[in-house]
Amino acid sequence: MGIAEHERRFRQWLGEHTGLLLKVVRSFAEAPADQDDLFQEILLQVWLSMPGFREDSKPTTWLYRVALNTALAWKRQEKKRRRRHSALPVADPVVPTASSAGAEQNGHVVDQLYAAIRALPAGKRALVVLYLDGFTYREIAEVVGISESNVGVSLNRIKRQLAAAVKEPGHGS
Amino acid sequence: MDPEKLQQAWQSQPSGSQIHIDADVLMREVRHNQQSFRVTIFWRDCREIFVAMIVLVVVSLDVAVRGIGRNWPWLLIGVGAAWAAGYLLFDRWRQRRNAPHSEGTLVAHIEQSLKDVEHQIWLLKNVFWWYLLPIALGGLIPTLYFFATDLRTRQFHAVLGPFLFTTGIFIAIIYGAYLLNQYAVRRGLEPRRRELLAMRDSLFNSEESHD
Repeated sequence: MGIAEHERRFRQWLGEHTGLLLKVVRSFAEAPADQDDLFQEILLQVWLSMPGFREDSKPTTWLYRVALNTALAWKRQEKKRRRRHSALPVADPVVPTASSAGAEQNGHVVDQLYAAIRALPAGKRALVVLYLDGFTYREIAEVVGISESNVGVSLNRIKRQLAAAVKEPGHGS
Repeated sequence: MDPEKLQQAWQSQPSGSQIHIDADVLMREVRHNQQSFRVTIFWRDCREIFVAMIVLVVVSLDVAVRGIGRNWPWLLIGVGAAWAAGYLLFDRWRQRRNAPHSEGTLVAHIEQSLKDVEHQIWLLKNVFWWYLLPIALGGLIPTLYFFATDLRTRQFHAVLGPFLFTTGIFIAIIYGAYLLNQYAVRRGLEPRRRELLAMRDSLFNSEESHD
């Protein structure tokens, strides 16, 4: 892959899949500064790993692999922070553009959901992010590298945990 | 809340096209981070060579000033430092070839990271053999050599004091360096190893363990 093609694809994926990357970021880091750090780390790993991308896999699956692997290996660093830039969409990545009451309630549910995900062990966070984004058990098994039955057993338990942790709007917190 | 509703709420988050990003700025940040990453790797390797070179140069100059004919055994310190740096660089090069690829499966990535951490633990636990011993020998052999040669011309009690003092200082430095390395294993590497094991176990659906 030439440098021009490398850059073109990177920009294209950035435009199409930033939402995916930000979901991973928010599932693994809570503070805005940490989210910023992890987001940049993921972008760097995507950029560095891009020459290894094979056309036979879907970009979203590949991006999830890189993003989740990076998030699992990422360590919060108190002292050494990367240079921050105000243009990064991490500070408030999931605020919906619509300001309706429904969107606000949905935002509240999503906030609770992220908090519940972050309370899970790191490995399980990876599973749940893929499940919530609509990946099948087979696809999750391929990304994670475990059997489908393992995915099923783990997710059944996680789903119960999340269902208990996230309150429906209007049911109190 | 029903898991299906959770899925719907999750999927209703803005996708990439709905999020405003400045691609040029991000591109610059990525390039900047890539450059920092390479510079960090480069200087980390250079540091080992520089330290060994500085030891070698200082020892060589000292020997040259004091007379090579009599003081050449001190050059062994430089040889010991060069060996330690060479071994470290060789090991790092070998490890870099097996570095985990971010695009592999999560389990493969965790297992490779685990291997890396376990190798680092092994390296630091055995730091005496590959790092400290060569340097220690480089210092202790000349000390012993000069002790033996001084005995021919001076009284035993006159050379014993300086010999014990020099040897004691050397052993204290080596022992201190050994303790520091073991502290790094306990403080940084063992917790990371446990964290990775817990992460891998959590994927294989064994007992729940939070990181």
